[in-house]
Amino acid sequence: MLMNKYKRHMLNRWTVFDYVNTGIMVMITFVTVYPLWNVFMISLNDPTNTLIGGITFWFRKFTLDNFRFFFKEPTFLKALSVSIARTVIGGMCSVLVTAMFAYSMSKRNLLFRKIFAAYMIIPLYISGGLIPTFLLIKSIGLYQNFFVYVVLYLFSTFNCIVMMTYFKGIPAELEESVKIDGGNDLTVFFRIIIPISMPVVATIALFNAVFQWNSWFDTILYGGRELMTLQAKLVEIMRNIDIVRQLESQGSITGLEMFKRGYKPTVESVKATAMIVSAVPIMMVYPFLQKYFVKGIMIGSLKG
Amino acid sequence: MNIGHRNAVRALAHKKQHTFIRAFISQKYLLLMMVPGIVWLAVICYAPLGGIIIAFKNYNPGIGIWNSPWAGLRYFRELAADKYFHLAVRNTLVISVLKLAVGFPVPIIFAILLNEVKVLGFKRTVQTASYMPYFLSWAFVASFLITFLSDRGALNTALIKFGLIEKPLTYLGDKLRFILVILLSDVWKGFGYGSIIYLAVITSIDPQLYEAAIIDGATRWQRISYITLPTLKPTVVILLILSISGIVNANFEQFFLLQNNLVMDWARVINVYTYEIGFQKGRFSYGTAVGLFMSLSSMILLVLANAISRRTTGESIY
Repeated sequence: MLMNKYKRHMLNRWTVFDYVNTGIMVMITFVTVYPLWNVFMISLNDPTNTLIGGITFWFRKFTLDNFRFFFKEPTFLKALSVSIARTVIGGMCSVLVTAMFAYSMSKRNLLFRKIFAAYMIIPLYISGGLIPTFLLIKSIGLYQNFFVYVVLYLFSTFNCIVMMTYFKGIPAELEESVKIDGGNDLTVFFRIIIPISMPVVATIALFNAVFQWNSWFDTILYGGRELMTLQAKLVEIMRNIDIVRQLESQGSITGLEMFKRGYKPTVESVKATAMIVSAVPIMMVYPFLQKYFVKGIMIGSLKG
Repeated sequence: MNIGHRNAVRALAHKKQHTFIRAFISQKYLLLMMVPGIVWLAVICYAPLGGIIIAFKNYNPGIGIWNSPWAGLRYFRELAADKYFHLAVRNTLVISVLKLAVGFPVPIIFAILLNEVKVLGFKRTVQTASYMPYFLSWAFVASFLITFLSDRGALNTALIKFGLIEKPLTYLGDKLRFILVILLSDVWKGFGYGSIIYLAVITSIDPQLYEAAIIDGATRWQRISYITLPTLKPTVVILLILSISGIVNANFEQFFLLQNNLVMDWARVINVYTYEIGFQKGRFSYGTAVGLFMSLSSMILLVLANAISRRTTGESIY
């Protein structure tokens, strides 16, 4: 009893170290969160006012016009819809293809199991590289085709290994009960395996979604203007200072009501607004991805 | 006897074939479910391996890979003499080593410090915030950095306000500061995510060990160095060995977005160079040769890393 009290006392006592450590942690949290906060404040500030510089912790002249402008500008809306489409379709298709492969591979008595395993692992060690892949995509007609976003990421060896491990832990009796009722492996997979593996399937689906949402280089390589995504748009704004003048020259936006109020978009505010719109979905889902982390990192670290 | 033996062998072979067919039939749906994955691997992963052949040809898009004339080792000789390629190799190695030296210990230290935090809710908040940057795209991070580090950006404004500098500094346009930005933004983006695995290991330590140590009068530093660190050691060793295999792969997205003409001598890493040659100069054959050099070196490092890991820790990923 006395011992317990002593232990609790020792564990809960705040020493100098604890105060310093808490200080360090507060600083670290500030450093990780600040960029997002700063961008958010710029997106809420009047564009012309932002040009003076020095928006650090708070907006100076509040406005929602940046967001109004963003959601009325056709090229941004188009980019947003392409981003959403690839995230949903690409993310889902990849989970399905990978989960089916992983389920078969989780069977110890699968024919050619070792050959399939090697077949799946070898591409982790050697890849054709940027240019041969580009030429291939061109030759199979996926260049400047929306489905390049889906096809490129249909299967993932890392996700496959994670799902395999999970499927192996499912008791065989569950499957046998379905088979006794006359079901085959397909029925087992869709009726039993997928529903009871929902935790891992959902996490991997979310991971795929985040990956799809954040990709931009594939748009530059294979997508072109028609398949512009939000992230690629961000890259375009970043590299092209004249983007605002281009938007104005299209004429479709200058008639908006906010322009009569004297609203004048600038690169900084357009960029900040696009950044916030691109980050909001990520902020909403990433805390749910924690379960996948430990396994994912172990396997993922191999690829560097 | 002999005939009987032969018949028995034949019967056995027949039976084996029979069980194979039976197994194949009974697994037809399992095998069917693998077809999309098998086709994908063949087309997206294996077909480009065949495409590497253009590194040995004078590839002409107009006549296709097969009809393009052979070039032998011409492009590899060019590679050996290419000054820019040498610079790219140097940049890749220097920056990867720096990233490893700076970036590898940070998640470990952070995990240990975070574990010492006593207020549970605070601990969780810090952790959740720390791995947020990992999920932001490099497009976001680079966009932010370019604004943040500009002449009138928040950093220069703050430094001038506190009287630390008089005139705004250039960050991305200065070689040394550019590398610093590359290193720090890499750490910023990855440290929280990287710490999760170490935290998981630390959390698995039996709290009674710490309690016993406290009763025996162990200081905090002694608890960390005699309990926490030894538990972390195997994980640290594996992750270190494995991350060494990644040193030829610089972060393409990061360099591609943050590079600019002022610092190109240091910003051109191997995979950025491959892109430049292939897509800006249109020299597909030479670009493929550069890419092949990189993927071969990374394969060798990966095999080595795996072998070392297996030998030293008894664990390998595959």
